[in-house]
Amino acid sequence: MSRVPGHVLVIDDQEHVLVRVSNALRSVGVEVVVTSQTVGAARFLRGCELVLLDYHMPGLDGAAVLASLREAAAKMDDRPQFYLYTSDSNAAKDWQAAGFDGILANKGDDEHMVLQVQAALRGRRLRQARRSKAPFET
Amino acid sequence: MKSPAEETAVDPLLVEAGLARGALRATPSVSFIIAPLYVVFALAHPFMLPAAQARVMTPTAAASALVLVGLGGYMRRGGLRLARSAYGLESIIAIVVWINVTLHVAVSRELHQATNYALLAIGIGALLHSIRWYSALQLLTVASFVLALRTSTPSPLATHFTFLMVSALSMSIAIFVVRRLANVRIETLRLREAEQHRALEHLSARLQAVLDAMREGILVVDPDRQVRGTISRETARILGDAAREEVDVVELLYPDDPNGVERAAFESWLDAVFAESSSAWEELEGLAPRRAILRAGKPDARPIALEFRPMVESGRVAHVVVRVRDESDKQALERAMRAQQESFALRLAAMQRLVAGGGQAFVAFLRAARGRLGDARSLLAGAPSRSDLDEALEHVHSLKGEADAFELPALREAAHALEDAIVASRTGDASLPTARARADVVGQALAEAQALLVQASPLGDAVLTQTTVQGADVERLYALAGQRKDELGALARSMAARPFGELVGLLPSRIARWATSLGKRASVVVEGRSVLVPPSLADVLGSVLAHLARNAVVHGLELPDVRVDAAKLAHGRIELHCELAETGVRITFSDDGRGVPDALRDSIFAAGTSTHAEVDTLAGRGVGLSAARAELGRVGHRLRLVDTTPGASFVIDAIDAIG
Repeated sequence: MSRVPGHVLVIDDQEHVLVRVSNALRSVGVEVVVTSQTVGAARFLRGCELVLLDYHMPGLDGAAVLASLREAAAKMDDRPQFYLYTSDSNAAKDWQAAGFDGILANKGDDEHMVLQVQAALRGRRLRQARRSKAPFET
Repeated sequence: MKSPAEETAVDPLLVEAGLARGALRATPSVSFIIAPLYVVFALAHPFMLPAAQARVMTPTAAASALVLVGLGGYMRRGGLRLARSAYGLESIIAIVVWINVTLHVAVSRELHQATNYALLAIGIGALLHSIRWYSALQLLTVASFVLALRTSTPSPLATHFTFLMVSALSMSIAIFVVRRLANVRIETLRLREAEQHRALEHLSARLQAVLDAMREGILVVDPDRQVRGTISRETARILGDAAREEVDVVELLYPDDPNGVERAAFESWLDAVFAESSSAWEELEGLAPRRAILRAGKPDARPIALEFRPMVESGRVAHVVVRVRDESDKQALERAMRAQQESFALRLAAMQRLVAGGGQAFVAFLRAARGRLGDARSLLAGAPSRSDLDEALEHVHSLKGEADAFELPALREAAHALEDAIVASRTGDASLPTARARADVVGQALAEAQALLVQASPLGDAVLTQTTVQGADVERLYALAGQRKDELGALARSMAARPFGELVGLLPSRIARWATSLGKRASVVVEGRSVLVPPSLADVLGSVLAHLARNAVVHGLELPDVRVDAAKLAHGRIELHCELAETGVRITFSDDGRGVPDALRDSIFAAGTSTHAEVDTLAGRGVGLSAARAELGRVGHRLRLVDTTPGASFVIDAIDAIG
C-alpha cells in the first residue's frame, strides 16, 4: 500500500472506531490524532490536514461541533478539510448542506477508509500546488 | 514519413492483377453506357441510311446493343469475374464498335465513314488497361483504316482523314499511357496500404496476444480521459464489460460513487498530468492512486493495484498508461494468514500466561473438566431421567464457565452447544444423539486445549504431571536418600531431577538473538522436554549448553548467502535432543553448519583452541568447549564430539553412578 504522509484528526464517540481508524491510518504512514471529546478538540487542529468527524454522535450537536472547529480553523494559515465519516445514511445525504468539504463512504470498511483518506490528502496537495502558481515544474 | 526509396516494394504481378480487377469492375458500366447508343443507331439507321446499308447496319446495331447489354448484365450478376479474362471482356466492347465501323465502311464504300476508326482509336485508349490488348486492337483499327483507304471510293479528303487518324492515334496513346501510369500508381498505393494494414493487424494481434498473456490489465488514456487502443483479456476480466475503447477511465475505475473523494482526486490528478509539462511527472506520480476497490462495500468488492506511466510527446504527456492488477487473491490470502496467526497467537499467549503461573491451575482444570465431561457422558448414556439430564447440564455448565475463565473460546462454544442439546433433550429423546455427539466435540476441544498447553510449556508433557513442592525438602530428601539403590533412592533422585525442557528454558530465543547479531539466522528444535535430567547434570547443563550454542552460532552456522550457495536453507538448524539411554540420560546437541575442521577434531576440547580468528563478545577465546567438558567432568559426566554430516554434533552422557 502506498504511503501518503499526512496529518489527520479523527473525532468519534466510539472508542473502538478510533482505535481501528488510527491503526489503519498509521499502518500507511499517516499521523493520526484521535479524540472522543468534542470539547476542546480544536486544540488538535494545528498542523492537521484532514478532520474526520461523525456528525451524528449521540447526545452531541454535530453542527455546533463542526462550526466551532471551523471557527478555530479559520484563524489558521493552512486550514484543514472537514470530512464526514458516518454510518448514518440519512446524514450522509446532507453532507454538503451540513458544511463538510467531503464525505467518506462505507464507514466500518477500514481498507476503503484508508484509500479515501489518502485520496483526500492527495487532492489537497494537488489543489495547494495549483494555487501556488508554479505547480510541478522541476 | 518514409521516403519513396524506403517504401515497401510491390510485386508488379499484383499490380497487374489489381488493374485487371479494375477492368472487370469498369466493363459492365462501359457496356451499359455504349449499349443505348447502338439502340439509337438501330432505330435511326432505317431513316438515315440508304436502304441497302440500313438492311445490314440496323440489325448489326441492334445485335451490338444486345451483346453489350448481355455482357454488362452477365458481369454485374457475378459471371465472368475471373481477372484473367478481364482484358478480353473489355476488348469485346471495342470489337463490337470495330465491327459496326468496318461493316459500315464496307457496305457504304465511303471513306468518310472510316473516320469512325479515329473515334474507336481514342475510345480504345480511354477503355483498355492492358498494353498487349491495347496494341492488338489499335493495330486492328489502323489496319482497318488503311484497308478502307485502299478499298473505298477515292476522296479528295483522304489526306485530311489520314491526318485525323494519326492525330487520334497519338491522342489515344497519350490517354492510354497517362491512364495506365495513374492506375498503376493508384494500384501500387492501394496494395501498399493493404500490406501496411495487414502488418498493422498482425502487430495488433501480437500485441493483443502479449497483453492477454500478461497478468495485469493495461489501459491507454488520452487527455480526454478516454481509454484508447486494445483492451486485453485481463483488463476485461478485472474491470468487466465496461472496459472498452472510448470509455471514461475515471468512470471505469470509480464507477460507484459519483461524489466520491477518490474519484475527485483522480480527476484532479489526470487534469494536472495532461496540463503540466512532462517534467512534472516525477512529482505528480507520487500523487497518483496506488490502489482502488471496485464495488467497495459490496460483497463482491475487488481490490486493485494501479500503476501509471506517461507517454510523452513534444514535452507533454500525450497519453497515460494505466496498469491494473487484481489483488483479490493476494489480499484474501493475507487476510486468512493474518487471522490464523492472530488466532494462534491469542491462544498461545493465553496459554503462556497460564504456564507462567506454573500451569498447575490449568492442569487441574483439565483434570476436573475431563471428570465433568465423563460424568455428563455417563448420565447421557442409555435412557436418562429428567434428574440425570439436569445433573449433566450442571456439569457441562460448570465446564463452560471454567472454559470462559481460562479464555478457551472453542471449548466454551462446544460446551454451550452441548448445553443446548441437553436442554432440548428434556422435552424429548430426539435430541439425545445430538447431545452425545456434541459431548464428543467437547472432548476434542479439551484435547486441543491440552495439546496447546504442552506446546506452550517448556516442560512439554511433564507439565501435565508436575506438582509444586518445597525445594529445600527435595534437596534434603535427595541428600538423605539420593545414593540409595532401592526404590526410595530412585524416588528421591527422580524428585530432585529436572525436566530437560525446563533446563533448556530460554536458550532457543537466546540462540536466535545471537545469530541475528552476527547477521545469521537460526531455528532451534528441542526434543525430549519431559525427560528428567539428574540433579548433578541439571546444575551445570545450562552453562554447558550455552557454551555449545555460542560455539555453534559463531563457528558452525554460516551466513545465509553462504548457506544458500552451499545448497542449504538460509536458516541454520540447531537441535537439542534428550533421551534415556542405557547408561543414563543422553543429550545430543547438533547443528547443520560447516562442522569441525579435521585438523581440530582431536584438539577441539583443548584450552585455547578456536576456529574464530577474532575475539568478540560471543566466542573466540577457545575456552568454551574446554570449560564445558571440565565442568561436566567435575560432576562425573562426559562430553564428546561425534561424526555428523553436515555440521557438528556433541553428545553429553550423564553417567548414572548409582545405576
